[in-house]
Amino acid sequence: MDSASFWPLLSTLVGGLATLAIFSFLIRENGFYRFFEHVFIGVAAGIGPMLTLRDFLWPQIIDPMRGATITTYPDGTLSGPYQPLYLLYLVPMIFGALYYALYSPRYAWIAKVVIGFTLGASGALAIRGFFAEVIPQLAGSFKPLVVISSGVFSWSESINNTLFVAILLLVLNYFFFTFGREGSLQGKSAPLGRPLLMVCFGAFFGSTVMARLALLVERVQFLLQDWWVAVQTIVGLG
Amino acid sequence: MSAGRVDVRARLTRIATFLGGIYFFFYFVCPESMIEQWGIQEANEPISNGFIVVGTMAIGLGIINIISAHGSKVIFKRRGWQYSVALLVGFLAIITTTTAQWIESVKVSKRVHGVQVIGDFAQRIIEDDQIVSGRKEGIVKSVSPAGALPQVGARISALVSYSNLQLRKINSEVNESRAMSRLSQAESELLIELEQASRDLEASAIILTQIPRDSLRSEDEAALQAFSQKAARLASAFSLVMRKNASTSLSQRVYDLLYNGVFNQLGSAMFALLGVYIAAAAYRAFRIRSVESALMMIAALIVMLGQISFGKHLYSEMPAICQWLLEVPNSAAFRAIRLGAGVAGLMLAIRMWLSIESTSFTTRNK
Repeated sequence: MDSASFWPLLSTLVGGLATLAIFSFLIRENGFYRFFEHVFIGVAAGIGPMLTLRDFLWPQIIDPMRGATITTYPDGTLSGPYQPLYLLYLVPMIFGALYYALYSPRYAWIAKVVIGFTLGASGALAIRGFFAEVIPQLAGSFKPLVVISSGVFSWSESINNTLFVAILLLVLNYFFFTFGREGSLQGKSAPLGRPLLMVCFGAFFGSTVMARLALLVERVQFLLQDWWVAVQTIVGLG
Repeated sequence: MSAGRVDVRARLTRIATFLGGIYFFFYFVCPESMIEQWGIQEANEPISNGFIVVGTMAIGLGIINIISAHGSKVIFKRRGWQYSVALLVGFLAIITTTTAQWIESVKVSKRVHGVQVIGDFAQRIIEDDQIVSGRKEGIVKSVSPAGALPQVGARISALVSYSNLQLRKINSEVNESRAMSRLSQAESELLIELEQASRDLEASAIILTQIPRDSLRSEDEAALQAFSQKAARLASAFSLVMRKNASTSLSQRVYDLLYNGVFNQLGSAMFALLGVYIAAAAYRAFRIRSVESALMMIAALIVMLGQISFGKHLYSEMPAICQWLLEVPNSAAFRAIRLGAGVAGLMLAIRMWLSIESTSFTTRNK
């Protein structure tokens, strides 16, 4: 067997074993399952930092800082001047390194300053995100209740839009607790939001089940087709 | 510890939290014209990268924690230590192979860049000469450590000798590839294309040697331009060959095995396993005990049947009903949930930014 076919075959065999190990959990929790579960956690924990280092930290921060993005041409000239401002990246690096003060009981409070800084930035980004994403959605939710397309009144679109706006308002009303509901129209209409939410949850549930089942079908297909062929090849039947 | 010192620390944390958010907040609320005028638009990417850098420095915390938690389990042979060995092996294996594959890809990129420089340099000679001779406005981008830029003729001589050197290297690499392994049809075609591009460039380089030493005439510029284009073609063919070779290296194979054979397969299997449990949970959730649970079940059934051919077999309009259910009632109710969650998120973000949210975070642990 040559190298070109050996590695894909090995990958299929290992993938099949891993799939069987995970599915063995359906019988009961066992060592085979736990072994592959831990391998998965280990690999997943290792991939994240490496990808951050390889795809972000090195090319976008370290390389510009050490001037590696500047090309030296054959006549000794450079493609551009070195930008010393990139050295300012050392400031967030040193500041971020204060996270490690967490390991010192005496200076652990310093890590809180860095965590606070990161939280503050995430908070401000979330504020920006709200106005950039939610406000356009809010505006887009109030669709025209009477739709006339090419001069003709469109029943279906008008009914759908009216239903959409009504459901939106009823569900929003269900979550409205700011002031007294008893006896008011708002209070009386609030329970109507509940069945509508149930329809929404049901639809979500259906979509989720279908997505998971699609994955299950793909896994079973992989086991019955690719993996089984790989096993037969190894045993010598293929 | 005195209360005063604690208070200073809490205040410092609050100030850092506020300062962390102030840039993004002002970037959002300031008019675009003001942002452009102050040059913040240009600096936005490096500043945002700086914020990400602060976060990425925490990666080591995760690594230290995982190694200390599972390493101590292995050292002291606590219950289930064998699984911790599996975890650590998986963790170290992916780090090692990703590093090896990364080093390999850096080597390939450097080698490819060495060939790309031929075309870029030819183009740069044209641009610099146009600016120096006043035929084009702008600033000369090239920087010479010696001070003044070398004369055009000297630059072209350097270009020609550099390209000849690279061509010799490429030719020997092509011969090596042919001698080392059995090539597939696609690989052979790639090598032939590379050789052709290399011969084209060699022929083009001979013309360049006739260019005078002081400045470029229009025909010289055209010759350099043609040379640059041929060099770009060579670089693209060379890049394909190098990347093809790199894809069969041991580090890449092991990386593919770990990523595609283990990580992706285990991820899919985990999610698929949840499909089985979700079906079991559905049995409990869909026992019709009220109108609301009946509604939930009907909606779920319609969505599920609407996505499979059996649903269409039962009732031909099932996919249309499913589509309507998803687009109108489901979409409207979900939009309402999102709006509510969005407002709550906004409040939480403001409270977090202004350090109103968590007093335990800004006060001393007891």
